[in-house]
Amino acid sequence: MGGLLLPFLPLLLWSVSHRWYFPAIIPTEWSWRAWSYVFKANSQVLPALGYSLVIALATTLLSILIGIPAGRAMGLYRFRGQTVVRVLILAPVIVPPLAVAMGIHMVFIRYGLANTLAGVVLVHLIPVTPYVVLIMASIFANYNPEYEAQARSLGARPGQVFRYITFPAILPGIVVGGLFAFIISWSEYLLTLLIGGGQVITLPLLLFSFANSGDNALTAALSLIFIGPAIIFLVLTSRYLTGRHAAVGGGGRL
Amino acid sequence: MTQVDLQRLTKIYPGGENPAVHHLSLTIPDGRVTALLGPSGCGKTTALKMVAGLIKPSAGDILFDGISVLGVPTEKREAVMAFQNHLLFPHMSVSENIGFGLKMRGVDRTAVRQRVADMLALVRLPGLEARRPYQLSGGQQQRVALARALIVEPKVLLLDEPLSNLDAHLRSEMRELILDVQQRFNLTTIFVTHDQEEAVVLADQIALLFEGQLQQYGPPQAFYDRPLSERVARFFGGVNFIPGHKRGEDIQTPLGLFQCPSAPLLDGAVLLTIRPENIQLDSHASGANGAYGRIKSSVYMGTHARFKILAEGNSPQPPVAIEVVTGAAGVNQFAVGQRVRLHLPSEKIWLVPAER
Ligand SMILES: Nc1ncnc2c1ncn2[C@@H]1O[C@H](COP(=O)(O)OP(=O)(O)O)[C@@H](O)[C@H]1O
Ligand SMILES: [Mg+2]
Repeated sequence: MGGLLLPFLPLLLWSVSHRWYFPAIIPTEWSWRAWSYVFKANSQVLPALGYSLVIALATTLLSILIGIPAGRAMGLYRFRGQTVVRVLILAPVIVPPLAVAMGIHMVFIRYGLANTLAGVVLVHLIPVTPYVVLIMASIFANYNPEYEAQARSLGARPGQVFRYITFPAILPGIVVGGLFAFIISWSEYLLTLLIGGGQVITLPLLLFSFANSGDNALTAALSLIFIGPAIIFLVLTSRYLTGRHAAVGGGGRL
Repeated sequence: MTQVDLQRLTKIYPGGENPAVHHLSLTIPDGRVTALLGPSGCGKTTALKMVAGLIKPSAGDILFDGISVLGVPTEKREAVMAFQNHLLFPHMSVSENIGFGLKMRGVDRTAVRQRVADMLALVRLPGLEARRPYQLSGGQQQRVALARALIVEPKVLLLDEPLSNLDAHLRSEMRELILDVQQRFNLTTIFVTHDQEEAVVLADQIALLFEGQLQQYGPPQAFYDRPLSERVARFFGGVNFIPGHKRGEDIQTPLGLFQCPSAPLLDGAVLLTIRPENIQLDSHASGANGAYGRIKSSVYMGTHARFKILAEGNSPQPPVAIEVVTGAAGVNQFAVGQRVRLHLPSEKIWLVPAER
């Protein structure tokens, strides 16, 4: 765990440095300027953090709501045209997102979704959903739906079947798919810029603009804020990435 | 206490060429054990799932005590099915598995715990509440699955191949348990099996299916004594089929003339059939309903002996292969190559239509 945090040490030092020139090993002059700017009442950082969190969480939730039924259809059943559907689902991963987003931008303008939070969430679903669907499909490929039939026969209503049988079985996939969805949405730059149209400023947008301006201390502080939630998410879900509950490789537990 | 009526029950799977179950009509008596018997793929599980409400029939009706249950959803139908591979929920303990049905019905926790303990005692697994399914042996898993189905006190108990994954001695143990429990609760029980011996031992009534179609329905004895077709007879171990022509009470065969007043009212081309243990072997005697034959081979089987005999009549027709089972002493009495007299008692002879 300590080793994992080591790369962040320079960032931490940068964020509190005032002067730090080669060949000094640590900054020669220190300053809280970057951090006090970050937490200043009228700074752009906190609203951007808020936007990023709301967008990433909404994208994650929606992609899982899509991923469960879509992954079930892909992993559990065989139907005509399945290969075509599989390719279509994968397409956004292969086609440059910018190409897709340009086309979508026109549609979004017509429906008033351009420059809105909802529009950004929708456009984030394009790169996110394929991963979630594929992860859920691999979970469902190892899933025996007869357990659901058995539960129903024992008296479980459809809602109860999902809660007590399906959900526990696919939970590892939901967690891992959710982690992917969160991280992809969280770091998305181009699509947010294009569809948000400068109205929806997320952390990556802010980060790039600070980096461009050459303010190293502020860029470092913002980078740390940017990395924080992703790390927390990863740690919280780590037990589903390895061992008995692993969603990848081992498949679900049912 | 529920009588189950199946009326021309039919299931055609999407994309399936032939119906998995075709016009199945059965009256399944209240409080008895009925077996759905047939080779793998003949539609037994499909039929059972339709009764459970897990598959919607393509046509036909299902009645419980005279009332159609097609509109009753699975979870309210009170026909509980225990699946073929026991399907214990892997993320739950033994007691959570057994208590599942009661929990879904909103029974409170202390009551569930008490009933689970009762059920574990009933299936002779006391003290295993906290185990996980993977920590149980195959026989224990099957018994937990039975307890899980019984705890909700279903009107109809549906068991899909309850003994198929068990080795021989566990089988007989489980068989006794099912009979014991069924009699205690007087539960209408339908169970599926591909093993005719299992059906005979467990069931009061057997419904034999081939390719989704009912072949014969009745008590086990009827399948040995009065099979309706050559296929049914063969499924129950029948081996002797002698082609013949029936006119009145006389059956003309290559082995001569036979008489059987008790046989069904067929006319024309028939197959005369008789179980190997019902043929009497003699070294000399003569009389009606007899034929001569030469012993081709014999097998000593401990409790009995089995002979293959080539029998022939007076007519110049090719001999007919006949199998005969005698007591164990028969092996000393009759030697391979010996010429013997076969006696086919008229009350043991049965006729089935000759199939073309
Ligand atoms: N879900 C299904 N979709 C299509 N065909 C099926 C399905 N389930 C079973 N079948 C077919 O229906 C027939 C009967 O199957 P089943 O009821 O499982 O037979 P049994 O239990 O007697 O072995 C088989 O030919 C099988 O291939
Ligand atoms: Mg079956």
